[in-house]
Amino acid sequence: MTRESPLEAPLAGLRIADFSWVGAGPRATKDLADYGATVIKVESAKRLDLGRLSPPFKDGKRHHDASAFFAITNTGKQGVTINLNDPRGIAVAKKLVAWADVVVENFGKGYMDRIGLSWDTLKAIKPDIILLSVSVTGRTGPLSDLRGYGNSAAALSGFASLSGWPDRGPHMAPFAYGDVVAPMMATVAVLAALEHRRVTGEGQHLDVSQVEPMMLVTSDCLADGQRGIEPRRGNDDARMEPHGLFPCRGPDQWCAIAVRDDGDWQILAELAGIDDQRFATLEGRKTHAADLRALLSAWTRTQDKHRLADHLSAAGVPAEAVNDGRDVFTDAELERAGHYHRIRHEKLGDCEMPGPPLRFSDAAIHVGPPPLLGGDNRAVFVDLLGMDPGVVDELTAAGALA
Amino acid sequence: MLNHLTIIDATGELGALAGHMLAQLGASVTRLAPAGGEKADPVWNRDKRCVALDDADLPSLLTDADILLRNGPLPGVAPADYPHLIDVLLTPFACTDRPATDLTLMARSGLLHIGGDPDREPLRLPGQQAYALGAIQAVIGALTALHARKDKGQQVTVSAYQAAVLANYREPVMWDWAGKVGGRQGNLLVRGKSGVNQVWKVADGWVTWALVDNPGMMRAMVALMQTDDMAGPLAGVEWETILVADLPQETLKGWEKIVGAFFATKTRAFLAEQSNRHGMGLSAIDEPDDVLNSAHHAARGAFVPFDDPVSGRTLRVPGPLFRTSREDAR
Repeated sequence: MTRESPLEAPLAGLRIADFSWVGAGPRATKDLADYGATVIKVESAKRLDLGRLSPPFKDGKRHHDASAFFAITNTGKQGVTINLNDPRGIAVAKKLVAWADVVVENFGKGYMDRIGLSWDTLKAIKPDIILLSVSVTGRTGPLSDLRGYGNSAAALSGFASLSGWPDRGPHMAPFAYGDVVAPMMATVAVLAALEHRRVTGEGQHLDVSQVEPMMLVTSDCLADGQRGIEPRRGNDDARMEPHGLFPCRGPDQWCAIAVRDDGDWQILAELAGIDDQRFATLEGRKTHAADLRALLSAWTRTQDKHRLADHLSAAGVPAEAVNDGRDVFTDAELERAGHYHRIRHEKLGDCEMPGPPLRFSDAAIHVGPPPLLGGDNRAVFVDLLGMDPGVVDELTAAGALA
Repeated sequence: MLNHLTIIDATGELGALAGHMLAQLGASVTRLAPAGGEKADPVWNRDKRCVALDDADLPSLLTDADILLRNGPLPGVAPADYPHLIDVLLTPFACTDRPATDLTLMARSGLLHIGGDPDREPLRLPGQQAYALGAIQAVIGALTALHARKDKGQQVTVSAYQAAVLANYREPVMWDWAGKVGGRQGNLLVRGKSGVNQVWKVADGWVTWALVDNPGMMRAMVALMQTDDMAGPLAGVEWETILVADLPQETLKGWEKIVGAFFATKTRAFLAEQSNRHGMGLSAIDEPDDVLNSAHHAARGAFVPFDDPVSGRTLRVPGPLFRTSREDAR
């Protein structure tokens, strides 16, 4: 009897030279690495990836290999150090380009040109290369010189002004949503470009901004504004009532409840003991929303948020506890779905990293440890690129591979 | 880029964006309008051929399709019977069959808990972001499976809930590694021991900027303040030698008071222009009308016209997902 071979990763054999740092580039190459691509992350000890400086750190001790934030953003990559301000470092970087299918960067506009890794240079090294550039505003247009983070993208896309309560100013979510959706779009762009290359043999330069994906995911809000409908609605939904958060037992505990139609309302009304014909239709529930919410809040206020959500869900009404970070980390659904993957890391020890939110029926996902700073220099420079070990030692001592 | 691909989009509100994205990339997309009526905003279906599910010849459509997008079973057909097909099943949860909406998924993901002001209930993100994140992940799954397809397709299952949890990249990891639970901070960005303000009132509106650990950006801002002699003690800060995230809140408050006084004397346009020139990391906060009329977005062709069946008007809606050198060559 033949033993069945383990499933192959869907992107096995794909080669990525990753010059990106912080969040918007590295999250895209994390996806590609989790799906099996060989990703070589190029860093420099002379200019650390700022992600390496971001808390939380293992045991609270700041160290460039001990950031959990960096770890979850860079799983499965190999790490090398190249000083891109040194021409001898650039010569090595060009060897990586010649090896790669895809080059990724998210530097300021013009930086790749200045260091000698322009799009034309990359094409000369490898005519079918795919170059992915991720930036806040894109590589063309009047604002393309802007240097910024995800909050700039939230500001320029309208996302910040669409966020918040109708009676207050703009709200900046406490995480960089542009650093979430832009790398996802960058992954889509790379995969689409690979398919295009498979069919035509052509490479291309992909210019992914943070702003445009944020506008894409709020297309409905931007359309509503033009339709004369207030797009900044807090937690309301024009087509559902009740639709919002209801207080539960304990300080700052809430349950989200969304009544999709009259059928949902009948179920909820019966469970909550609310017998009032004013609420029978959506129009009635909207008209008397304040009364309805007060009655419902009086019922939810004494209940545990998780039990209430389970109770309503079991009855068919969409409801979930408003979870905090602890609730999410310990959610049994994530455990069952295999959301977290166990890794072993020299500095972080045995720990768990979040993986992709999907599964393939005939391919494997493997979430590996993040790279130590320069931890794969010898394996990549000598074993993969075929450089002479003595030369690598010299360049390292001279600061070109550091 | 994907002009040679044929997509069947049998999703509802959750997933309509996925078909739209594939259409934007050039694929030919057929939307099967749900039996209970179309609930997705028409902006997500604008570049698809729409067929009522009841009228569709599903076996014929699936025989010709490369990718099927769906939320559940389809009447009378089994996707597994079409070996070439990449069958993408996008559901609220991977292992739990319970009712969900975008709001409830966002609540469970932890993204609601940290949104909004401390004096009010938690606040969702605008639009339907759990659905959007799930849809983009569905496209990633579909194209990853396409890359792996030799003769045979496969099934890809996608959890919108996990997509939202993945977007919550701080809170679960902070609990796991530091035993800390975050809360609502309004417009403060909390990193390390302290929080910094991200939204500032200026002479004619709002801008976003923050004290962050980027010495170049900090020096550029202080240099601008010095031209008006308004930098005060900030002029003496050696940004390379400190970690802003570890400074006491009182120190940051004092510094922010100085910055706020400077900003109050300037307009959005002036500050944005200076930032663009000197790399200060500041941006004007644009209202939707500003966004639609932005010269930058116009130069990149970011918006395209759309004849909206809801309002009967021609709207401007986001167009290409990204730019490529292939367009420039044309």
